[in-house]
Amino acid sequence: MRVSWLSGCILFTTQVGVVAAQSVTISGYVEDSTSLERIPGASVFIPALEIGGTTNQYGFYSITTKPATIQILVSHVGYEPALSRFELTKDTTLIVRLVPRIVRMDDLEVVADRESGFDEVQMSRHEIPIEEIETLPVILGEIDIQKALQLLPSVQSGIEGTSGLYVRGGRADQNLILLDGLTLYNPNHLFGLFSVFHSAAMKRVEFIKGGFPARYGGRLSSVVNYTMKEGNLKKLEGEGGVGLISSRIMFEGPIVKDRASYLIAGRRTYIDQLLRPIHWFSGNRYKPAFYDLNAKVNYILSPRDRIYLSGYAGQDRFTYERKPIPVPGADDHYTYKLGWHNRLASLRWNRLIGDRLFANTLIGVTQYRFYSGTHSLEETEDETIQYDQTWHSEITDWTAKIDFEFIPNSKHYIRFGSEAILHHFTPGSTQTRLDESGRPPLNLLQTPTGTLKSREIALYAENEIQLHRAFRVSMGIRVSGYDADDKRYGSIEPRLGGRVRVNERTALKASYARSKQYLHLLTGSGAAFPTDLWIPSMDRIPPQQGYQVAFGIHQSYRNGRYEVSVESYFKRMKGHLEYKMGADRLQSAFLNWPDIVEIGKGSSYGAELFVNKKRGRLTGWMSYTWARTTRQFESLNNGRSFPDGFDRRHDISVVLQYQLSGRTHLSAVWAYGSGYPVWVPSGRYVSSGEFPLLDYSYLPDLLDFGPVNSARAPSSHRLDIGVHFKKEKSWGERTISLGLYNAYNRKNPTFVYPKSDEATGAPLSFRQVSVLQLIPAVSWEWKF
Amino acid sequence: MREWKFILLIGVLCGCESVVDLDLPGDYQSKLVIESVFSPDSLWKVHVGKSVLIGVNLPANELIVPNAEIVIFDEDRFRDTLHHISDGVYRSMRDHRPVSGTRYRMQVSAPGFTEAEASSWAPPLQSEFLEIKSIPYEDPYSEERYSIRFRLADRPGKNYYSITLDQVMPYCEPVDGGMSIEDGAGYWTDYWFLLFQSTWPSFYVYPEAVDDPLYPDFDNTFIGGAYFSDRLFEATTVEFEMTFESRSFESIGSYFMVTITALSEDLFAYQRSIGHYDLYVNEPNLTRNTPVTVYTNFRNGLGLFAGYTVESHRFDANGNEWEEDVVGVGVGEIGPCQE
Repeated sequence: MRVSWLSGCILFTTQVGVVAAQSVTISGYVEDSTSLERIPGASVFIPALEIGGTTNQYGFYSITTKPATIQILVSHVGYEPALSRFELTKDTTLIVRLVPRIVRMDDLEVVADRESGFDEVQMSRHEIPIEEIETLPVILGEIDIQKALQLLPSVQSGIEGTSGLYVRGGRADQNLILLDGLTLYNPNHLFGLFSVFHSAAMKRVEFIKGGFPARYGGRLSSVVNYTMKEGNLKKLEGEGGVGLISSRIMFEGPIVKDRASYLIAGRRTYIDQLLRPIHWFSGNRYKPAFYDLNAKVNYILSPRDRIYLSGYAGQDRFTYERKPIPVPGADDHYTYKLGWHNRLASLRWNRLIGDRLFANTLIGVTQYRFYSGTHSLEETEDETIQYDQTWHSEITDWTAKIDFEFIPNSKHYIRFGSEAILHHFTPGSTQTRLDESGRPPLNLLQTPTGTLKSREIALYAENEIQLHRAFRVSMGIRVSGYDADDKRYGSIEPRLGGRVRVNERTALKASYARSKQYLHLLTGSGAAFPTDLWIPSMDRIPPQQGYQVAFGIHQSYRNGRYEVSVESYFKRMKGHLEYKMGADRLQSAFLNWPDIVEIGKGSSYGAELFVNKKRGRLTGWMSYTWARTTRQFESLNNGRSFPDGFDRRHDISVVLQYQLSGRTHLSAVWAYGSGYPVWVPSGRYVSSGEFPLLDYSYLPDLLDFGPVNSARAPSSHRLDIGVHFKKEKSWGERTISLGLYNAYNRKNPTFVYPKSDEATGAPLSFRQVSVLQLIPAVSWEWKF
Repeated sequence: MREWKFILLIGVLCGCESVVDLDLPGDYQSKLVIESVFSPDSLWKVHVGKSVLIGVNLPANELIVPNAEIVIFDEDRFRDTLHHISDGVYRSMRDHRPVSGTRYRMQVSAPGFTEAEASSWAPPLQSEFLEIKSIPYEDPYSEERYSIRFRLADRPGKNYYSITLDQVMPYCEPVDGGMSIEDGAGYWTDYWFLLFQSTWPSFYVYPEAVDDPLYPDFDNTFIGGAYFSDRLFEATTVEFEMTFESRSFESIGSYFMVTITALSEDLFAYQRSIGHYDLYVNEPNLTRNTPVTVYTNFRNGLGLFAGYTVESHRFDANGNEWEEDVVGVGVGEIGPCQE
């Protein structure tokens, strides 16, 4: 092994194999020198030959070239670049350890870590560095990665202030949210106010909204790929914070130095404690609470093998305890509980096979469970009546997948692999217990006819080919099969992408992706709520499917300091589910979904502008989206298509981060969105009052809702600002953050509804309810 | 929906409501509004009105449609044509009455309107009163307390029911007008609902709560009646128990009536949607911010064509059955209260 120490980097090289006459391969990993954490997305480049690439999700790279004396440049924003010159005569494994760039008090050049999208074939992809997300102003000071994604083009939050993701006209269930390779079904805490991702535990988030690579499947609208940190192999590090409604903590460090490490991170809200005063006034207790826990262990078996064990557990719980009813001689208790949890565990094995083939094998389990229930107890001297009812819905996936990345030469990057998922659905079982003193207890458990199992299997292959110096294409295909309830579905999904470099600063891109989604989220309201049910495709419920075509032009200015992209897309989808009018939600416990749902289709198209300033004291981005999204259901709107509930014509986000000094950082977000569609009444009628069972005389006129979503709510806009004061201490670093959400107190419409006031004789009017107005935030964070 | 109070709470803490202007669609095609609720042995009766553009205020007599043609089919065979009587009300001129378990279809057409059509039935019902028992009550000032049991045989498939409890009470007219329930000999008598309790776990006060996981708390005290589905006893025979306190009237004795109604899916869906609609219009929040349309089973129209079947069980405090004409319920006219 040859070890070279160079300015800004450490190189470990091992030259193996025999001298190759035609070509030699240099491959290995890029790591952080302080933690040995592998760095995805780092640039590995041989300038003289103009060949190179970026490290994959696991920090691996491979370059094959002719034997020569080469200079290799390894760089990643946030690190000192490493330049090494050596004679490459044999296949060589090169592990590059980059030294983090230290930002000194007088060094105010800030380099944002947003990867260049200019040169890659993949379009419609974004990656926002976690450190940048952590300094964005957010509601109540709770750092939220998903809310940062909402500031990207063509991403809607749905209800303001929530962590929803509605991407390019897609629905909430059409996002493939992966945490260390496993699907996470409900990414929300506190009814969607926050997302479940603890930023201190995350290394990277990759967001793809079009031109999906064949390695991703099973969802129509986006891929949100979260990767947890691996754990510092060198030394113990920690960070934590105290915010207005929650506190968080993270530790990472070596188990065996340079060989095994761990990471553990936790977060817990105390909003339940903050609501205690309400109990003092009303006697009723409201206890919303959530926690999440991330853990990861990383073990280096050999220079070519690494094993990761990662897990996540998060839970939300909302409890309502009614004030006891004061009946003399009786004791009365009533409790309502609602909650959900996500649990994930995975074991991953990275192996370098030879110098050009990288393998990633993963097995894991993910579980999402929602429950609601009541407990009541009435006790008198004579009798006790105890009643419990619970309703729960659960989905558990067992996943096994293997991915290979083969880089035969600088003109090809081949990926192939397979994935198998066994889904277990318990989509709505109920349990009822009634225990009255002196009587046999009643115990009724109602579940679907056993747990419904479905199987999903997929094979894929991708090849990214350099056809010409300026022209690179990515061709992929994904073949999947699915069966549930004796019904089988299959899919062949071609994926194509291409990039043409017009000149050093301009690239044109195009992509086509066809996708199929075998799972559906049955939702009963405009927003995604935990009571929504995940159900599988089955007989009479076909999978969702769609395709997306996108075109783009990407420009880079001032040596990559600025990047500008314009993309347009067209998307067609079918297989959307909606509850039928008057459908009984609990019927869905009994596997008769085909009878209570309607199946529709939709389309979406739009254009996006994204301007990104990546370096300098002032960094940030501006995005503008013009879009149109429609839906069509046979029995809604007389079968005619109508605007989707989150169809927004104009959407603007401006994100600015300014390093005022080494200690002070300012950030601001301004977001504007034209009004969401509103379904308003166009006619009115009255009930005759002739029929006793239809006697609703207390209601004013009944409304005949006209064309679906034919009106628009007022537009929304707000300014969020934040300031972060950082100070170095003998033990590490502390940061105090102050922020204002909706700083100019704009009353944005959370929802709009019609109201007529018969008492005053006022005509029907529309009321806008604005929930989130000016909200201050403060937090204290530390790091060592 | 008390479980969502947390969300409401957020709204209370930081929310506000304001009136906004929206551009409304200008054109509106008026629709027929048809209401017909039938039960076995009732004569066909339909009310036909029309919907108008929002903001248009017409007097009630201009909202009716007197020139409609209404045809009823029984399993696709012509059964009856209804005729306009007055004020938009149409009736059968023949002595044809709906039969429980038969599906009927109604077609309604009128000049200037698109033809509307709907179908429904009156579901069969089989119930039986079992017993009434007096419950000892330690409180000397309280009224009589009873427990009653009845039996219901459920048909296969999804079924919805309602149950009410009434007592025959004496009515009189006070000097200052109105109507009063007072004990006194010779008073006019009629039914008045009783409050009752049941611990049966699928009884709910409101139809919109039945089998909806957002309302997981079953009710155990009912004023006016309870709604339930067969979720917990699909296609089986089940016995229910209810307890209640009666009013004591020495003048007429204690006569009770339990009424069990089997509601068609359409009627239940209508009642459920009316409940949701009421909440949406009057108490909107984050969980019900999407418009609620009142259920209609009319294609190209509004309103409802739906059936139901009723069985009434009349019993006195000793469990003896009684007849209305023997007790004299509703016979005669209300008289003045005695001083």
